[in-house]
Amino acid sequence: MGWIGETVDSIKSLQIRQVLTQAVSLGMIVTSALIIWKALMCVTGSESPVVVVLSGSMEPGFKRGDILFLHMSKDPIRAGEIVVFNVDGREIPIVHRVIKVHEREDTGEVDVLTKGDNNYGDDRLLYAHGQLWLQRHHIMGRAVGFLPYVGWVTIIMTEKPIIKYILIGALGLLVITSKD
Amino acid sequence: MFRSVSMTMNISANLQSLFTWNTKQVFVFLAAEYETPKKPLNQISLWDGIIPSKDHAKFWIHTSNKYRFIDQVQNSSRMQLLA
Repeated sequence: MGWIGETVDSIKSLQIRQVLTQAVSLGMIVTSALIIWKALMCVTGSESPVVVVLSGSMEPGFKRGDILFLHMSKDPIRAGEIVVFNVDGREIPIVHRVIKVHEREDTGEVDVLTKGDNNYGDDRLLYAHGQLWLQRHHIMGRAVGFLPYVGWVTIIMTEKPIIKYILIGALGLLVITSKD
Repeated sequence: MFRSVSMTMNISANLQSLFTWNTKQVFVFLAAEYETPKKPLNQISLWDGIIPSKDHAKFWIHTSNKYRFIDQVQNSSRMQLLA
């Protein structure tokens, strides 16, 4: 009976309100991040509004670690534009420049060839096997702005998962231990 | 089998006015734009270059076309021969 009493007392001693407040705060942070991302997707019309540059194919304009802001609209695609496209069978979108455009009269479909500024040849080697041109549905947006160096955080976390977990753990601890 | 246009170009330009305080680089390209019966718009880049700073923005160059000037053909198996 004394044991049961002690257990009940210890449970009651928990600051229920405080625990709930912390849980709600954590949820608010996660939810805010999701809302911001979804809002960005709506505003920019692109499913990847922000991307990190992972390779040097567009140097000197864009370097590894830069962040690019994308925007998608109905405007026609023209030579010289920097577009973001997905290749069938590849997960990571590619940001390169359009060098050739052919627009068909009957369907309005457009055939596009791209190339990285710093690459020697065009992107046909990057496309799916046997694919010679990009079509509209491959293209996810245009690059409309960039921030240098900011993307290194993402690259480091991707390449060294242990750092990612340490960072998330530290942030979690910070939230839990903070007192309003 | 293919008809590819090869050309020599003299390109001179003064693009210094394009450089403002926040201009990172200027990408310059020369493109051919034309119509065919089935494709009302075709754009083929012939040459491009990057001007890194205002000091390089006044230039004169003599060059040939960097990219092939070939019209797109419908039969993809023939395009394979190019690759």
